[in-house]
Amino acid sequence: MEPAKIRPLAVVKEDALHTPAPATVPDHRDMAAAYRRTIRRRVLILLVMLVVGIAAFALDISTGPSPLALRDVWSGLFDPGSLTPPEVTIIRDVRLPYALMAILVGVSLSLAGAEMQTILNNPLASPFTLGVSSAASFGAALAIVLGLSLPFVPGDWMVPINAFICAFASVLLLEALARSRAAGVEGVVLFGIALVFTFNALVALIQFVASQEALSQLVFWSMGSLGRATWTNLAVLGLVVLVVLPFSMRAANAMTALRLGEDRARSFGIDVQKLRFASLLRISALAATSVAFVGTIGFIGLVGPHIARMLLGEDHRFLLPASMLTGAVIMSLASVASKIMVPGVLLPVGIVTSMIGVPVFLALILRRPDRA
Amino acid sequence: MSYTDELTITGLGAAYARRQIIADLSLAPMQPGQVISLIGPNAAGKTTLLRSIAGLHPTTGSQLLGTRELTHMALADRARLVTYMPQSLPQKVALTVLEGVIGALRASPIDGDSLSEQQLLETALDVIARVGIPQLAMTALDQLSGGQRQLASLAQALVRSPRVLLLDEPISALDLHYQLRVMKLVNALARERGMMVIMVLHDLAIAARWSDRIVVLAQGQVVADGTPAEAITAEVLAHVYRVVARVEPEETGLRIAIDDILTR
Repeated sequence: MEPAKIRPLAVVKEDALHTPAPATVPDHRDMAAAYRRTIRRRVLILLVMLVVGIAAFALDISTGPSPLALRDVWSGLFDPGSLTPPEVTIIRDVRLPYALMAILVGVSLSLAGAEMQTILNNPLASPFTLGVSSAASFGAALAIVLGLSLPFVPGDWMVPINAFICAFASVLLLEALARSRAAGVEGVVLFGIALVFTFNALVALIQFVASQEALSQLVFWSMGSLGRATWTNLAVLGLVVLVVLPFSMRAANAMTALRLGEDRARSFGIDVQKLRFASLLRISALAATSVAFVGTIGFIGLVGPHIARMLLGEDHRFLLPASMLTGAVIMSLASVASKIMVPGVLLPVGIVTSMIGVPVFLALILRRPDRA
Repeated sequence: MSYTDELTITGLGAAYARRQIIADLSLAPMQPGQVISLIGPNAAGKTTLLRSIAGLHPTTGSQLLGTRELTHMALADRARLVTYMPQSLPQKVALTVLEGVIGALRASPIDGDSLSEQQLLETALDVIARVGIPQLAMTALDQLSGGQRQLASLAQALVRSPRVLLLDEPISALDLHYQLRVMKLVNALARERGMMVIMVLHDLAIAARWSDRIVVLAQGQVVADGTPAEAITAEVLAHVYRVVARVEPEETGLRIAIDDILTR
């Protein structure tokens, strides 16, 4: 068959040919100035986030069954003489550890999530979505229901130690897979999702054989609560954050380069395997310790980094600290919400974070196609 | 500054899983200051050869840069000498063009000590201007068109001013203006700094016009290697692309006409 003849378009738009060239090209000085403005703006945003974090922290302490003025919170922390002894006790011994735990858990989970999303190149990666929290629940279930733990672990510590061991083991599994060349990054993410289902099934199995009392204890544990904050727990988690943070920040430039593609990052001299391994170690320490002390708290590790990224972009020198701050702010606000949502009832904070997190999570998924 | 080290590849082998992509490939020394284009059909091993030289792929055989053997060199040391520009840039990256280029510099030190913030910024802006996208410096990478992304990606590779620059289809998404601009730029950099440029190209006329040397690959083997006129002949094109072609020398390169016939 003869191909259809295409009639050539013989019209040249004279006007269009004489349209002047578009805007002038910016010179070096303008661009350098614009870049410096961006950096200054980022530092400013970080400072604002810090102030918001401190405000949320104070609000968290002031909220509770007996509301306190922010001024009293200040006095309670820095000038206890001006308050009645019961007020000082409420602030210092009850609410302060609680509020500090909210901050530390927010910081840890969100930093862990930010690193995880970068090294696994997946916006939906977080300790919660890739099975770390589920593994911790399994560990807790072993201790609560079956009384299984390592030998010589004191009773009080069985649940956190078990949760930590299982969470850590799950990340080690992810690590082993990430290191094997065969799996690839997608394989790691799918494996993480498989872990979620596996551990959930195992936990369900243990629940099935659990006594009434153990079952309620386990269910309460898995809801995630800041009520388990003690000074010892706080010290341990605080120490983990302090130890991990410098290493995270040292890897910031390498992680930024990794965002430009794995081959490219390697061609810039970055040992991506090593970067991933070290990062997963940090993630496991942060996530496993947090989950061990407060139970399952979902979505902070997912949502915190996303908000930070929207505000500040992906230069990890800014993204990592920003993620920690957004995590802390969200967690503190969730803690406030958990105290006031149902008057007179203290909801487990894990329920609140999921209630906030799910809509945000959905919004992120629905937003994806138009950005592709 | 100018470089003097030749790159000699001898008996190179590279495999994915158990599939051998390149076996026992040898190339006469590649000179600093030369622009070398790799051409050939799909799956000829062009990208694998580039990635092998970049150290991104385990290889057998020898890759000698001057007196230094690249094969077992640590990635960080190799990155001071060789930079690779992959075919694509990830889709969703919340970094600006400028941040991407600065990020390429910050990733690892190039000449021992690292640059100051001011030097980083100046170097990155220079490269962005030379590539011809200063107006995009503050635009996010995920808002660029395909061609713009390719230019941003090129700037990330150029900014490290390596001795050996490896470009995987650097102009495949570019319009005519930028195709010409990029080819002129890499030629100028090769002359100015003695940078060796090895790139994969699909456009034979452009390869012929802007390369000092052409290596034609098919099925992991070198089919032809020489000046454009030596390497791109009707016979070679018939063999590797299975087309009927007429090739005539022109003042600036080769005139290549392809008939509408597939031979096999």
